[in-house]
Parts: sequence; structure tokens; C-alpha cells
Amino acid sequence: MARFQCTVKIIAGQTHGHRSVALLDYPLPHVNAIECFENLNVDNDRYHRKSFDMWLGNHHRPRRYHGWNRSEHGGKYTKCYVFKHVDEAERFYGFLCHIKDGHPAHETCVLVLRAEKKTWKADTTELERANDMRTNAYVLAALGDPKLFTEGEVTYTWLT
Amino acid sequence: MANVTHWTERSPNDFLYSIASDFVDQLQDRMAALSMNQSELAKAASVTKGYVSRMFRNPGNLSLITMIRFARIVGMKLSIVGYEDVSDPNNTRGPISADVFRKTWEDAGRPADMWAFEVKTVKQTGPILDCTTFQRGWVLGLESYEQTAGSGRALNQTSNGVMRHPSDLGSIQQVSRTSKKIGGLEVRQNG
Repeated sequence: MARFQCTVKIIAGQTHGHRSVALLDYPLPHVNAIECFENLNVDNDRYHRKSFDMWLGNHHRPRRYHGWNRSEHGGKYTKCYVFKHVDEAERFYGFLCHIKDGHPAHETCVLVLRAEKKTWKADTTELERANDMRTNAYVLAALGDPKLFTEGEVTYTWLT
Repeated sequence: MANVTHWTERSPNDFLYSIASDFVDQLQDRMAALSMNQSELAKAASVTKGYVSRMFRNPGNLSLITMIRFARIVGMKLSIVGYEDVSDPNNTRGPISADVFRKTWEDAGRPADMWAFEVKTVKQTGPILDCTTFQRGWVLGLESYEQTAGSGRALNQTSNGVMRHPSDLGSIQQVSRTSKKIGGLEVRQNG
């Protein structure tokens, strides 16, 4: 019998009224958001945290973060989102959801994976991976735990 | 509820990074508006392009004198604003963005000094007549509004208590310089 864990950690906006940013850990090699974020150097850590603050505050900063609209990729990734550090060719891909108990308008961006991207050409591999996690039953169970916003982190363990 | 502290509370250098990032974002916005690239900015500042690139990449190393220097090159001014965030004394949400202060200042009509906030009240003395759509010439009106002295900011309420639309404020501000009372009617000259 094997066991695996799914962890969700709020990295910004735990008490914010409108938005929050979370990191995901899941036993797939490409789901690495928590691990990668925690290993960022000081400057890159600051850069992304500043981007999170800007997004929480509803600032328009497409150089730092953006989503995809219906006219792109046939509207397949309208729930996906990316935080970018262009100078470092670094991206954190994730998805948007409304999971805060009792706050249906509250929007959470769950970051799934880090990727390097050195061209502007669209690569949908990361988007597909982020999108897959959006509908993953185990991930949804962890995201739905009300303790996520009170404790800041939840870990679910399953035996399979 | 877990004790939530914002990342800028970790150290003064984190706080500095955050507010310096606001400046760099504003500088980049201004450069975009001027169609100026990093090379042109570097040339205007007599520094290398690498210097500008490093500045954008790591704003935490910016000094105040450097910020002023680059701000003036793109025609911006710089202010340091200290404020008490009474709703967040423990800094759980970080500093208020410089964009918030900038936009608030712009929305207030870009006041140049404290005269714009000095309020005096003129009492209503007669029937209500209000004009808001003029651009120049003489205006008749009967007053019971809060009026700012100097550059005039607060002519936002008509004599019958109806708030004027903000889009009218631009023309309203222009008429507050000259006014006199003639038999209960206030006559103002657009200014």
C-alpha cells in the first residue's frame, strides 16, 4: 500500500479580502511550486512576492503576471495564470479558483509548477499541466479545506 | 488564525525592495509612455545599459539619489511619503503601493500644496441656480457649498446639495478664482 501527500500553502493574501496566492505540492515530478519557491534566491523571492502583492492589489502589470483569454488557445486556458520574472526567464504557472469558504468572490491563484522560458513563443505543456491540477480530485479536496485560510497550509495524505 | 506577517516585515531590506520596485515599475511605465528603451535611458543618464538593466533587475540596491536622477530624466518627480496605516499597524499586508498615492493625488486634481485643502463655507442666500457645463465667461450661481481657497478643489456639491459628477470638476475648478455677490446672486468669472 502506497501513500502520497498533497500540500497547499498560502504564500500571499491569507487575510486579504479579495485575492490570495497558494503554492501546490503533489507527487508528480513537474508539480514543484513549493519546492522551487522555497529555494529561490533572496532577490527572486522578493521579486515574486512583490508581484503577488501587486496582483492582490489589482494592479495591471502584464510584465509580471497575466492570464489567457478566450481568443487564445481556443479558450482552453482561461483559468490558467502565470507569474513571470522575465529577466530570469522564470515562470510560475498555476490556475485560478474560488475556494475560500464563505467568500465566493475571493479569488485564489494556485501555483503548480516552475518553468524556464526564454522565448515569447507559447508553449502549452506547462499550461496543460497546470490545468490538469485544477480538476484533480485530491487537489480539490485539499483546496476545499477551510483550515487552509486559518492555518495557512494543509496537507492531505492518502493510502492507495 | 495563524500569525500572519507580511514579507516586508522580515527586514528593512525587504521593505526597501518593495517600495523601490514600485518606483521601478513607475519608471518603466513612464519610459513606455515616452517610447524610451533602456539604452536611451542609460545614455541620458551617462551610465551603461548594464547598469540600467541591473537597476531594473534588483531595485533593492537603488539609492534615493539614483531614483531622483532617473526620475528627472523621464520628467517625473519623486516624493517620500510617511504615513500611519492605522488599519494595519503590524504590517500584515505590506506597504501601500506608490500607485495608490499617485492616483489619489491625480484624482484630487494634483494639488500643489496645502492651500488646496483649506475649506471655507459660503452660506446659501437665495434661490438655486447652478451651472456646471460652461468652459469660460461669466457664471451665475447661488451658493451653499464648501469652497476651497487657492486652486479650488471642493466645488463638488451644488447649491441644492446634489453632488456634481467628477467629470465636471475640471471646469468647476477654473471658476473659483473670482466671485462676487450681487443681490443674492453670486457672479463668478471663469478663470
